[in-house]
Amino acid sequence: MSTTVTAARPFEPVTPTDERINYLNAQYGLKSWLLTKDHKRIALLYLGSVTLFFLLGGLYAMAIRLELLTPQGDLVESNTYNKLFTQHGILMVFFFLIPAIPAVLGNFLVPIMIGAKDLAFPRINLLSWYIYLVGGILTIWALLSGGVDTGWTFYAPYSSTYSNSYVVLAGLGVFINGFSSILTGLNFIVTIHTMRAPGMTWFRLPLFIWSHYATSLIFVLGTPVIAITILLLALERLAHIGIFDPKLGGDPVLFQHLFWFYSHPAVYIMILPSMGVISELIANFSRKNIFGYSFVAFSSIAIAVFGFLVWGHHMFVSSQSIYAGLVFSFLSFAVAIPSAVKVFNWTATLYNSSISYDTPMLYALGFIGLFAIGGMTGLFLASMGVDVHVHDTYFVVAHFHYVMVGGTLMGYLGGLHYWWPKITGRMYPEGW
Amino acid sequence: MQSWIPFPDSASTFAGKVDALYLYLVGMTAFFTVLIAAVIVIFVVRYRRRQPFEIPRPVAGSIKLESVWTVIPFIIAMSMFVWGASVYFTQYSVPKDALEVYVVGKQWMWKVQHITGQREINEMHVPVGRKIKLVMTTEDVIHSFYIPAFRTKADVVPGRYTYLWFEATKPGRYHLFCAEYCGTNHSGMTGSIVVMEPADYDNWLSGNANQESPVAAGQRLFTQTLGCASCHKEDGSGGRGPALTGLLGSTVRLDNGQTVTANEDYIRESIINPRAKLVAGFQPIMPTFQGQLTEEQLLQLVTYIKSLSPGKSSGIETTAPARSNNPQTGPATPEATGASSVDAQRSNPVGATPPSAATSPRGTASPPASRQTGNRPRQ
Repeated sequence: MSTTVTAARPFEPVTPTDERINYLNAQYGLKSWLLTKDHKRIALLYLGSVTLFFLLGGLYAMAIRLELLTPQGDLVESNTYNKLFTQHGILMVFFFLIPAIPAVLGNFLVPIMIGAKDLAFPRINLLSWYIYLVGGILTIWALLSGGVDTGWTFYAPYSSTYSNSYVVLAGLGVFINGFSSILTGLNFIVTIHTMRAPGMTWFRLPLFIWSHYATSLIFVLGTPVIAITILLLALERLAHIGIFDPKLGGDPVLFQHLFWFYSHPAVYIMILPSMGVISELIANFSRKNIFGYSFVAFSSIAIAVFGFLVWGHHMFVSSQSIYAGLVFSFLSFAVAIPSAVKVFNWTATLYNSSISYDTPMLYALGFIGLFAIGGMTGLFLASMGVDVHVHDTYFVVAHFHYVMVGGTLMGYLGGLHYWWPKITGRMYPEGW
Repeated sequence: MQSWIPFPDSASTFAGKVDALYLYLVGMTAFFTVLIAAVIVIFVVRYRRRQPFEIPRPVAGSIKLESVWTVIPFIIAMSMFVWGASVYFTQYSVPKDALEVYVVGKQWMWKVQHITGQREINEMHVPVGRKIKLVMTTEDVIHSFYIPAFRTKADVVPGRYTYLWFEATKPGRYHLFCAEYCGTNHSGMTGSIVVMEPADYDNWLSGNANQESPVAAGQRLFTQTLGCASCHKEDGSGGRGPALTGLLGSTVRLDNGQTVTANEDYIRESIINPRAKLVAGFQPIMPTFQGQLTEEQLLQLVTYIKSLSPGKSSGIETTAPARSNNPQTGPATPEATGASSVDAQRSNPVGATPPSAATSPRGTASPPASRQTGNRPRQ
């Protein structure tokens, strides 16, 4: 639980050398951290583990790039390379991009921003972190045992019947990790609904809260689908029950529907919190309220809702009905509009403002530029005629790296810098 | 589209359409990206903080502005959608009069079978200026047949046929890639499409003609190896089993009252899983041949059975129509595009075969358009 500051004379001026009680020094010792219920401490626990997985995923990325320096397969052999990109994807998507901002910045800031003492379920918050760790350890165990080579998308029947790698073990790690997401989402939704301070109405909430609310909706509604999909995959792999492999009576395209039904909303899980951070950064460093607050707030909700309706745009060439494809393409264009509206509103915020070039602002500006490019390439992919040509090529890889690195990572790092003083009590060196 | 732009060659009839759409998208997105970037740069410089404690005047929102920059992007997005959908329908509407080539993907190679008997591995020779339809499947995992120069690709999915079509516009050798990760040697699963002038293609055909055509191979399987003839008769006219003559493109009534349209996928499914769609009036006595046939043998059988319906097509051109080949309840509806007018009820083996062109000789089976089933219920 959070600690309260008790100064002897509460209104005395405070110098930086005053030793006040805060969440960092209220209790010492490993147990006080590992058994904490304080949302701020849990956020720091996540910071440590999320950073670890980010670095691990980054190592795999470096290995990929080293191999790709030359056209020949001269650094690693084919099977190893297949494991490298699979594991880079799994670690980055499930253990960094999805949890990072909600679990680190969200956990820390959501109660503070709405005037609550902590989240609605502090113990469940801690449980979320432990579940994340267990999932992560299982996945690392799979990697160390020999790795998984199915691609992070685990397409069947390769993953259910043909792959000779640790699919079930890695899948189990991802499955367990999903519960961490679900519980965090649950926590945020209940907290935002029930624990706002008196007078904190919905339309006075910071846009950071709106985006985390929208993200939590996706957490709670979408994650169970990937959980069950992984279970079905494991069932087929272990018990040879025919679900996806046609030789057992299954349908391989069913896997794709189930997988993408979660994994598309998942990418909105990755970007929405980052957009929330950007809203705060732009507003703060231009000393103005975000232009069009309610439009930005509604855009977050719209992205979350529409995001559930577009999964088939990953399947335009996979023998999906072309008429279903039409619907998915239309809705994919529709879901681009709220993102565009946000970019325009951020830009309008800068008009007639007072902009300072602090590090978080540089990250925010970098976000807008890189996310704009990444989002624009998304339009190419939503347009079915072009998608037939560029699907399953590096065009897609480029698109999602722009939005994930240029989008999510920029928001994460910008937010970390911006709230660093709040988190640590210290200012980072600005550099100039 | 070559020269200085690193574009792949544009070598099919719809490649130019894809490229035009692509250029439109590049133009629109570049325009807006530059616009947004310029505006931001200008603002960031113009409104930089000059005094440490200055506070700008707050600006009220503007519904008008919000509407403008919601509606205009939406209209632009819709233009991209409509154009994209139109190009997509061109790419995925398989024409009825196309020359068929069969493709079987397998870890980690492409096996190509021509209707005239030629077999190729990782290469496909086709004539220029002729519509080609690929009927494809895979023996193991999902692959994807991708010809960048033709701007088209389609996944090959185990357990069903998928379709692709193109008409090459200039002779040459064009890259073929596998575009769906399929295991160890996915990146090595490449090949070539060799487009030839008609004369050269004929030469190539005759130079490689000493192989059995799939129709003949299928006939051998049907009448000798597998014993299909025992229930369907030597000529496919049916007995204990339904007639197969004139089957392609016709509407079949099932025992549960629903109807399906017979296309390649239906035929293939009935061989692998006969109980899935039991024809009305027949006993469920056909054994399954799953596990006894390779995908290539299945293709040969299907091709032979198709040859028993000369001059027929399965009607719909698109690769995956709205009404999938799921059984339809209610009265049988003949398929839309002038398909056969065969009796809707195929409950008795005496299905009238419509008068057709002279039975095609071995090898030149009529080029029916066929329809791929959508998601089929597996029950």
